Formats: sequence, structure tokens, C-alpha cells
Amino acid sequence: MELLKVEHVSKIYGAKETQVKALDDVSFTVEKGEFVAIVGPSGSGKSTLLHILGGVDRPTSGQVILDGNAMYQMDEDGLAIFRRRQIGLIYQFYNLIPVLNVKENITLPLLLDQRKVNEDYFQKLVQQLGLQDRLNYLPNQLSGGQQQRVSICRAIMASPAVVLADEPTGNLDRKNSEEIVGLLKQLHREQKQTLIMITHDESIALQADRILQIEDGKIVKDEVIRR
Amino acid sequence: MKVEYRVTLESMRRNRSRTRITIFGVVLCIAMLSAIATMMTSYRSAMIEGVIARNGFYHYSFNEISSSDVQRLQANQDVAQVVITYADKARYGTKDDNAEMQTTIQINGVKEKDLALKGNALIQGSYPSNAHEILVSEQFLKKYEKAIGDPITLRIGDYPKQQWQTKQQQDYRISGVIKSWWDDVGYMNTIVAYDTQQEALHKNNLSAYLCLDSLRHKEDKIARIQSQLHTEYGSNTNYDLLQFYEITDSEFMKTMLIAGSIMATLILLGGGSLIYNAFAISLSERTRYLGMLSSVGATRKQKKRSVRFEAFVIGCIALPIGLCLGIGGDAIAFHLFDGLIRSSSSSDLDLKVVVNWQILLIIVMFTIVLLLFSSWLPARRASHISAVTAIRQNSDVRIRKKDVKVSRITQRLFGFEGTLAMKNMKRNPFRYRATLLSFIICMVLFLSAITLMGLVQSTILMHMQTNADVRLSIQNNTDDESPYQPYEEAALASYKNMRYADHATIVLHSGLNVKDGSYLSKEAKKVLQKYEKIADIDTNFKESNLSHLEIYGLQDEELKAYCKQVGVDMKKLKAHQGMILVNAPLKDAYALKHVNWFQVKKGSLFPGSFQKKGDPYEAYEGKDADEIPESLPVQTFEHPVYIEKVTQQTPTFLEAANAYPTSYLITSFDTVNALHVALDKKDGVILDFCEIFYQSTHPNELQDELIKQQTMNMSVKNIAKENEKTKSLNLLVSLFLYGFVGLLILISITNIMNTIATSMQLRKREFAMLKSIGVTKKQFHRMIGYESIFYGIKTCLYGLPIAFIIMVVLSKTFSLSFENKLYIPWLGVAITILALFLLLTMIMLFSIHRGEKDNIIETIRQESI
Repeated sequence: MELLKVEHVSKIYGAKETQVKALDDVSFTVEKGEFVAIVGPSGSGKSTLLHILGGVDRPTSGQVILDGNAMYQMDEDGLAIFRRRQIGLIYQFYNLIPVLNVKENITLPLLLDQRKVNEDYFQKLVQQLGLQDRLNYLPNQLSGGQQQRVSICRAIMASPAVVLADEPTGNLDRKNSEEIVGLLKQLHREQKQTLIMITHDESIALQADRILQIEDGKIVKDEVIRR
Repeated sequence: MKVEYRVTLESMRRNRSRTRITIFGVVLCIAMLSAIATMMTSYRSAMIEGVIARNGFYHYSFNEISSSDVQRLQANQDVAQVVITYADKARYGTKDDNAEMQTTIQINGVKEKDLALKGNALIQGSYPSNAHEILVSEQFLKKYEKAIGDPITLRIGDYPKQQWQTKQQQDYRISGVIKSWWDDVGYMNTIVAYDTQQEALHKNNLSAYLCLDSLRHKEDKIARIQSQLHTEYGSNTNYDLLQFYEITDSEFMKTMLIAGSIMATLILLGGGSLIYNAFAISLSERTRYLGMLSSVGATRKQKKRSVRFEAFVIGCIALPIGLCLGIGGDAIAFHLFDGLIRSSSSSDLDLKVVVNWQILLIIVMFTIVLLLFSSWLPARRASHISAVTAIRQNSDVRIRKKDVKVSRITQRLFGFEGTLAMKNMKRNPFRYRATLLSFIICMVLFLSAITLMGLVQSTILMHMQTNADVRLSIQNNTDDESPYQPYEEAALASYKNMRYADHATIVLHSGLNVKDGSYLSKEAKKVLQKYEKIADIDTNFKESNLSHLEIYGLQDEELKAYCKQVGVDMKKLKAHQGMILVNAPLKDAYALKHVNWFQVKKGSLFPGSFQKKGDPYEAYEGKDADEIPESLPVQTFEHPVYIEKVTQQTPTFLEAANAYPTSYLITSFDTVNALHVALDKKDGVILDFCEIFYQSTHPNELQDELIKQQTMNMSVKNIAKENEKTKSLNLLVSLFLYGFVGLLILISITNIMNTIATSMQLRKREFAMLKSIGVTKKQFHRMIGYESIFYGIKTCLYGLPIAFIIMVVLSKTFSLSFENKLYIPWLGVAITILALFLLLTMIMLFSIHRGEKDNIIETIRQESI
């Protein structure tokens, strides 16, 4: 079942002589439950694409339809609400809120939505991610790997339609990187979570179901690794 | 240039708006301090000029000394300058020259170079060129309708036995006019050319005006000088001038110093808080830079220098600008308000900018110390910033759990947005406390300033007289030996119908003493004890204002109207020779208290006490000083007055309420005359004079008309003119205080803007993070709004009690209240609270609005290394 549809998305920065086309007429679809890796050299537009998919950056032209919702036809507030319910974002630098503890950071999308936290689901997630003993800790009291786990937890706490990860292991050592990728794969497998990840690491990319290769703002390759 | 200095300059250039705001705040502080200092030195200088113009430039004077004493003075080493004058008395007039109450003219022999000695500046014409020319005062010209060049004949004489005796007549030609400062015509001053022959004739009756070489230890010096002279009279001090050269003994200088110190403290507090905050914020912004410096090997000293260099740069830019603005601002203000300044003073004050460089140097030193002090702690903190802190770009590494703990009540009341707002506020305890403190200082400063403003304005306006425009006082019976002459209404009629008088009330004034306080009400005793601070009113009643009651005798027209007002039959009042006892309300600036001071039954006799004529020390004439008691009781006798009615309603010619406890008696003109005749028969001392209260739309012209008819037993007071001066003074003081308060507000707003705007700027990334997770605009604004509310509430919780304490202290200092009521400017308090919340919210929203157009992901990326 088609979950995500990207139609002729372009992103242009600047004007006239300083114009930069970060994305050039990109179109593709993602099925529900698919694990897609986006690869490409630096400056190819992969992060720009991910952020447009995540609703945190508007395309210059084109459309993104997620779960039947045309994202860029919504107003700012509508998009914000949609984002916290349907999209989970994981950044390279974690981007946790420094004044909130682990539990608060994880449940932030629900708190913003004024929804009650499903305690059973929460406990299951934190157990799975090994955070059960760190719930009252502030981000500055956690290691990089632990912070990224919190970030992952936060991304999936609201059971979003899609989880977008922008180089989630870019700031971690090898051991932590492997653990994080493993966790993401586990979530993808067990919860049939649709996952789109940007990575430089070929070995991580090969663990995905499908690889999209981007160069100079265009998709140059769309390879299915496993069905 | 050293790299740490370059980094500092670059950082300041990058954050232009914050740098500008900091410089602006420092400039404002310095400008205000220098403006106030310059204003005070200019005011003092103008006052000195005014006093010299009015009174003269001498320090001390001796009257009726011999020429040999003059020589001793001239030889004295402590004396820098001596001016000698002599004087004769004279009379002038065309009708009834010998009338007892004719004005006495004083003919002074003064050298041309010494004219300024006693404030006799030549304003028209020329100094007498011979012995038959004379300078006259402005008053003289007005009164006798003369002009320069007119001849006058003066009858020179004296009062050898209390009676005028003319010795000779002298003709003069008016050659010029001298300035006269005083409205009251007692002695009219004229000046003739100084003549050594005349000096010789007055050799035992000279006046010497001297200036000391220096005013240090002046009391000792003048005592030494006095001891060398052979005169029985002491020296006279030109205190009006000397008070400006003293501090401890001068009320004026003490007041100036206290006022100046209070204002300087307020400015330093506000400005200091602004500057300190600015450096603390600058440090937050430059954490990354300082960490980078650290990572490449910068020492702690170098990092400290970086912060101090910022203070140095700001000081170099702000100091000269601030000084110029302060002094320049004064010059502009003096020019703009010249008319108002002159009209508010009794001496035509000419305010010019006078700069005291020593005081300005002190201000510069203060500012340098303030900048150093404000940057000291941030500099110390800067020296501890490590490379890791900067690389992590996270001074929030030091957030502690307990710092961001939020109570359940807050969570329940304000929801998640409120919780987040509270956590954000408290995350950096140092910055949180610094921010809160600066808000509290702003609030306290502002409330203190508006309280001070209200109290000062009330004090000035409180003593304004509103019962008449001009008042003429006439005293006929000045000789105790002669029989009492009743005042004739017919003789006074011409004064009632003066040109420019719209309405006149003639009142015959008298008074009686109250023997003891037995007629005082209980309430009156309580108020008197508090208000007049008399411990035991029964024993010490004589110290009270109520131990003497004024008696006012009205003519029939006014008496009839008043009797109707209070419900008294005028015919019966006159037949009984009765009096209406008025218990006048007591007032201060903002409250009236109605007290029945005396409890007297109507239709009863009130025992008035009157002094008997005679000198109690007569019996001890010829006796040794040891045999004479220190004080002798004055002989008195009782004479009752009939009380027709007791009321609290005051007649229109008197003030509706007074600033001191007052009771008085209203009766008829004839009754007062009859009372005086009765007292005279009993050999009683009669305190009488006639007052005429004028209502006039042309009070100055009326005053001139009255002066023309004025004799020695008359005095004219232009109440309207004094009220205008009071109003002008009030306006001037208000303008100054409003300006001062306005500038304080500006400092406060600058401080708040700087703090909040930078705080928002520093959290841009976090805000972008929240937006990326899905915070809506409304939720975001709510979060920021709650932050404003929390800061506002905390500021009020701490600031209001402190401000109230200061208001209590100020109220007590001004002692305006007879019941120690406090002056609390409630409206000002409400406006302050409202303005604080509004300001906080507006600044926060403005800062947010600026960042609203920022792209979420670019903001997140930008702030990451």
C-alpha cells in the first residue's frame, strides 16, 4: 500500500546568479512498512529531501502526499499538528530539549497533542531501547548513544506513519552506531514501521529494503534490495 | 592587535543590535549622571549669582562702627576686602510729609565700584557725578511716579525720641535707577556719590562690608576680627550667600546633596543592572568563541582580557557621548525652559550651564568602576570556559535537575507549555537571577521615582494660598503709650474701591490667648500630641498652635453672608458682641481631617487671656545681672468673649483648611473695635491690624496702585504672584521629575529588551527543534507568553514589597501626613504592573516574530557545528 508519494518536488535556494537547485523534479513513492535508505555524496540534496518529507522545509514546487494528506496544502499549524502525529524525526545531533528529562522528551509529541500517554507502550519502548533506568535524567547526563535512543523513542512514541532519520549514527562511535541501526531495524521489523534513513555508510544502506541514490538533486538510482 | 581583542571586536560587530543597546544604556547612565551633576552646579552657581545681585557679595558686615575700627579691619590679615558706606535717613512726599507713617528713605553713600556690594545694581542712567545727584530704587520711581532727570527734595533727619525730626532739606536730581528686589516698602534705598567729607561726618556710624580671604574656619576668623574691634554690636552674616559654600551647616546644600545622591543611586542601580546584564548576556553569546580560543591555547588571563576589552571599548565610545549629551541636554533644557525657570524663582534666576570638572571626573571614575565591576564576574566566568563547552556548544551542560524542577501546581495550572516555560526560565540559575534582579530593580526604581514625584509635587502645592489675590495689611496702633484709636470703616473705604480690585473684604484682625487646654476635645488632644509632637498636651498646651486664636472682625456685608451660611442671626451676634468659633479642618497634601478642636457650648463665655502692658524687667532696672531671673512671667488678665455658635465652616476670605491645627473667631468689625477699647482700659496689649483681601484679575497692577499709597504702617503682598511662582516651580519640578522618570524607564526598557531579546536569540535552535517536533504557533506563543507571565509574577512578588518599603520611608521622610498616612500612588502601581507584563510580552513576541520567518531546519543546522 502506498504510504508516501513525492511528486515533482524541487527545492531552489537563492536567486539569479546565486541560485542553487538542491532538488530537481524528484518523484518517487514509498510503500507502507518499507525501509528506504537514501544515499548520495555531500551536497547531493538528500537531507533537503528528507526535511521536505518531514514537513520542516517547504519545497519550491511539487507535492508530498503522506497517508493521503497533501502536506503542503496545509497551513502552518495544520502541518505542525500533522508532523507531531504522523512523522517521527531523528536527527544526527539528537536535538533533545535540554530542560526536559528523558521521559518528557520521549512523550513530547503526545504532551503537545494533549494526548494521554499509553504507559504500557511507553514502558515497552523504553525497555526495548534500554532507557528504563534513565527516565529522570536530563539530556546532558546521557551519553551520545543514550541521547540518540531517546530521540528514536520520541520519534516513534506517537506511532507515526513514517520515521525519518537523518544520519542517526553520524555522531556515534561504531559500537553505538551498530546498536542504533539494529534498534531501528528491530522497530521496522516488529512494528512494520515505515522508515526512511539517510546514511553515508554503505553497510547500513545495504540493510535497507530499498536504496535511493541522489546526485545533484536528482534520483539517479532506485534499487530494491530485498522484498 | 591581540587575537582575543580581535575576537571581541568581531563578536561585538556580529551582534550589532546588542552592542548598540549596551552602548545606549551606558550613554544614558552617563548622560543622566552628568546632566544632574551639571544641573546642580549650574543651579548653585545661578543661586549664588542671584544672591550676590540681591544681597551683595560680602561675607560679613558691621554696622555703626568707628573709623578707627574700619582701619583695624583694613589692616586685618584675614580680610581680603572691606567696603565702607554711611547712611542717612530722609523723608519724601508731597502730601502730609510729617505724617507718622510716611516712608523712610535711606540715603546710602556708596562708591561706584561698590554698587554691587549690597545688591544695588545700576539698571538705568548713571552713577551720580556730583553731590546733588542721586540713584533711586525702582520702587521709588513707581511709588512717586518719577523718571530719570526729575528733581526731588529729601528732608534729611532722624528719630531722636521716636518722633521724626528733619535736620535739613537737600535737593537732588535723579541720575539713575538701582534694582530693588523686595516688594515690601519698608526702607526705600537711594544712593549718593561717596564723599570723604561725609564719611568723616559719619565717623562713628559707618558700615563695613567685608570679604574674608578664605572661608575656611570662617567662624573662628570672624570671632577674632570681632574681638579686635571696639564695637558693642556683633557682626552680621550674609548667610544667604555663605550657605552655598558650606555643606554641613547649610540646609540648601544638604538638600541638594541628598537629592543628588538619591538620584545618582537610582541611576547607578538601573544603569549598573543594565551594564552587568549586558556583559552576562554577551558572555553567553560568546561561549563558542571563547571555547575556541581555549581550544587553541588561550590562557585564562587572555579570556578575561577579552571580556574586559569589551568593557573598555564600550566605555571609550559611551563616555564622551554620554558626557556631551548630559551637558548639552542641560544647555538645551535651560534654554527651552528659561521663562519657566525665571518665573518660578523669587530672584529672576538666570540658569546657565556651569560645568564642574571635578564632579565630572568623579562621574567618569564611577562609570569606569561600574564597567569594571559589571564585567568582573562575567570575566571570571569567561576564564573558566573550556574548549569542550564550546565544542559541545552547550553551556546548558550545567543544567541541573533541581534547577528545572517545576511544581505540580504549575504543571496543572499552566499545562505543558507553562511547564516548559518555567523550565526554560530556571535552566540557568545565574542568568535567571540576574534577569529577575534587573526586572525587580526596574520596577522598584520606577515606583520609587513616581512616589517621590507625587510627594514633591504635593509638598510644593500644599502651601499655596488660595483665599485672595492681593492682601493689604494696615497697622494703626503701634505706640503702646498712646490711647487706642479704633479703625474707622469710612477711612478704609477708599482701599476697598481700588482700581483693579474686583472685590475686597476688609477684616479687622485681633487675637486672644487660650489660658489652658481645658476646652480642647479628646480628639484634638490626640491629634495635637501626634501632629505637633507635644508629649503632655495638658501641661504643655502653650507650645500648641491652638494656644492663640485669631479674631476676625467683618464688615456688615460679609458678616451677613457668613451668618446666613452658618445659621446665625447677625443682629443678635452684634447685640451680644458675640463671636462664632470656627474649628477649621486640618489638611495635608491628600487628606482633610475635621476635628472639633475646642468644645465650647454656644451661648457661653470663652475665657480669653490677654497680656498686660509693661516690661516685667522694669522692676529690676539697675540691679545686677545675677539678681535678675532668667525668665519672668508675663502679667495677664482674663476677658471673656461670648460664643454665639461653634462651626466648621470657614468664611471665603480665609483658607478652607490649614496645614496646622487652627481655630478662630469671627465677629463684627464693631465688636473687635469695642474689644480693643475694653482691653485698652484694662491696660492690655492689643494685637490689632486691618487686612484687606482683594480678588483681582490684575493683581500686579493692583499691587502697584497700593504701593503708591503705601506708608510705613502698611504692607502689600501679591498672593497671586507667589502662587504663580509656586505653580511655575511645581511645573518645573514636575518636568524635571517626569524627564528623570522617563529616562529611568528608558534604561529599564533597554535592560529588559536586551535581556529578553538575547535570551530568545540564544534559544533559536531549541525553538526550531520544538517546531520540528510539531509545536504550533499558538502553543509556541503560549509558551513564550507564560514565560513573560512568570517573570512578571516573580518580579511583582519581590519588587512590590521592596517598593512599598521605599514608599513608606519616603512618606515618613516628607512627613506630609498628620496621621502618618502613607502616600501610595495606587494608579502608578497598577500601571507599572500592567506595563511590566505588557512590555515583557511585547518584547518576547517581537523577538519571536523576527525569527518566525526563519527556516526550521536551517536554524537547527546553523547552530550545530
